[in-house]
Order: sequence, then structure tokens, then C-alpha cells
Amino acid sequence: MADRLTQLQDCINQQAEHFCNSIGILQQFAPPSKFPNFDRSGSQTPQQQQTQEDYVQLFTTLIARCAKDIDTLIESLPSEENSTELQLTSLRILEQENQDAAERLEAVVRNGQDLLEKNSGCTK
Amino acid sequence: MANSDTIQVSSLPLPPMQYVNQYTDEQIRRGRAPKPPPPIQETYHMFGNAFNTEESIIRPLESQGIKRLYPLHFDRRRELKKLNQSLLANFLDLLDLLVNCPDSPRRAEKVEDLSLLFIHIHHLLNEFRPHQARETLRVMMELQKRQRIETANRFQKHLDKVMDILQQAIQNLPEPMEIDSKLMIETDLLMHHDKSDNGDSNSDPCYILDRIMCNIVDNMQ
Repeated sequence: MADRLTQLQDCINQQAEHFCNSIGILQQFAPPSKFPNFDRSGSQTPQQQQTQEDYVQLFTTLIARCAKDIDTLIESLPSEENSTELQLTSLRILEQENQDAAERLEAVVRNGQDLLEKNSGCTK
Repeated sequence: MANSDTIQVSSLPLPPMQYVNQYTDEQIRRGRAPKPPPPIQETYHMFGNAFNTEESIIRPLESQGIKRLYPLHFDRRRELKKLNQSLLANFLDLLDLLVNCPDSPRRAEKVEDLSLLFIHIHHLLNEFRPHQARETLRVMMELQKRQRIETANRFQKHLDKVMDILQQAIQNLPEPMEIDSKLMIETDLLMHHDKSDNGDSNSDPCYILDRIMCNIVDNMQ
């Protein structure tokens, strides 16, 4: 699963696609509208009307759900105001601690190597 | 490389032979092979576009090209949510326009508004990226620190165990007069074997047990 920012970007792009697709499909499959005073019997079969409403339903659900997802994802983003300084401070502290840990590790490894040399000297 | 008999078209550019030929062994030994290119200062061109290393290219200012919809001091999340809702509102406006008067010029304006909103949202999201990079760096450093400390502790524990074993072995050494030479060789070799298990590997051409066996057999004669 991609990280939150990429997910958000994908969601926004998907919302744009939904906008385009909904307008396109609804316009393409729209039944002809009736003139007000023309009393010709409706050519629209109930099947077609049903399909139309299905599309409308589908698109409204998709767009609304996408907007809700975007809201949720935005909510999950970190919100600190001056986070840059915080991050830089913690990075500096971590660098120092990392160096200390490295020195300690080096000292321990050196001890081990000395011990090994002494031992192998004994057994010779 | 293209053969003269068959014309092969490669989608990749050919290797720069006039550059590669300068790096022969002879040249490198004499120190006359060309040095790596120095890092570029300031402006450079890539694929026909000009780039500048001095500018903060990662987050270019919105005020460069596009109108700005949010104030100077803003809370990212709130602005993003407002932009999201503006998206929906503008879309509904567009639908109204299309339903009522599809040929009006306001339709193009609405589409422009929508694209502006999308550009804003993506720009705000991109401003999060350096933050994310620093966060990733921070997490990596914490992990490294924890690994180093754990490794140091485990190594120290092994070292202590080895010291204990050595102490025990020294204490268990019987008086020199009583021992059988075979036993002496075995404990020494076993101590050495423990050491090479725990510490760095000491290369021994033959297995320890074989060596013990050979010594026992030698001493039996």
C-alpha cells in the first residue's frame, strides 16, 4: 500500500476522473427530452430510465465516497506548524546519538579482537 | 553495435567510444585518464529545459505562475479540506451551467476554476514531500541507532561468556604433574574452538575435532 501522500494524490486524480466520466457518460446516454406542448407519447422505455438512474446513482455514490476518502486522508496528515525546526533538531540529536553508539560498538569489537589475539597467542 | 551487413536500429544511443577509449589501463597507470566532471554550479540544461541549482526547485513558489487562493499563514490541513469542498461546489455549479445554459462562456470559466483548484491541491501535497523525506531519514537513523546498540550489547554478552569460560578453564587446570598430555591438548583446542564461535572467525585449515583426533593418535604411539 502506498504512503499517505501518494494515496491522497491518487484519490484526487480519481476524483477528477469521476467528474469527467460522469459528465461524459450522462450526456452520452441521455434520452431525448420532451417538448412541453408536443403530445407525442414518450419513447423512453422504463428499462432505459432505469439504466439512467443507475448511472446517476453510481456516479453520485462514487463522487461522494471519493470526497469523503479525501477528507479522511487529509485528516491523517501530520499537522504541526513549525515541524521543520522540530525535525531538524531531532535529526541533529539522532546524529549525535548514532555517533556515540558507533563509537561504543567499535570499542566493544576492538575488545573482542584483542581477546581473540591473546587467546590465539596462548594456544600456539 | 550495428553490423554493416544487417542494419540494426537500436533505440538506445551508442556508447561514447571517444570518451571510453581514454580510460585504458595504460592511461590510468600513468594518471592521464580524465578526471570525473566536477559538480555543476548554478544553471544547467537538461532535455532542453534550463534548471538552476541555487533555487529551491523542490518547492517552487505558487506566485510564480498561478493565482494564489489561500492566505500567507495557513494551516495545511484546513486549507486542503476547504479546497476539497470547493471542488465539489464548483462541480455542482458546472453541472448547473451545463443543464441550464450549456453555451455560455461561464462554462469555460468554471472549467478553469476547477483546474485551478486541482493545481492548488497538488501543490499543497507536494509541499508535504520534504517533510516526509526528513521523517523517513529520522526513522532510518533511529533504526540504525537501535541496531548498533543491540549489536554492541550482544557482542559484549558473548565477550563476558568467553571470559567466564576462560576463567573456568584456568581454574580447572589440574596440577602440571598429574596431567596426561592428551587432556591438555583437548582443553586448549576446545578453548580456541569456543573463541572462534563467539568472536571473529579465525581461519583454521582443518576441523578442530580432526586435529584433536590426530593428536590423540600421535600420542598413543
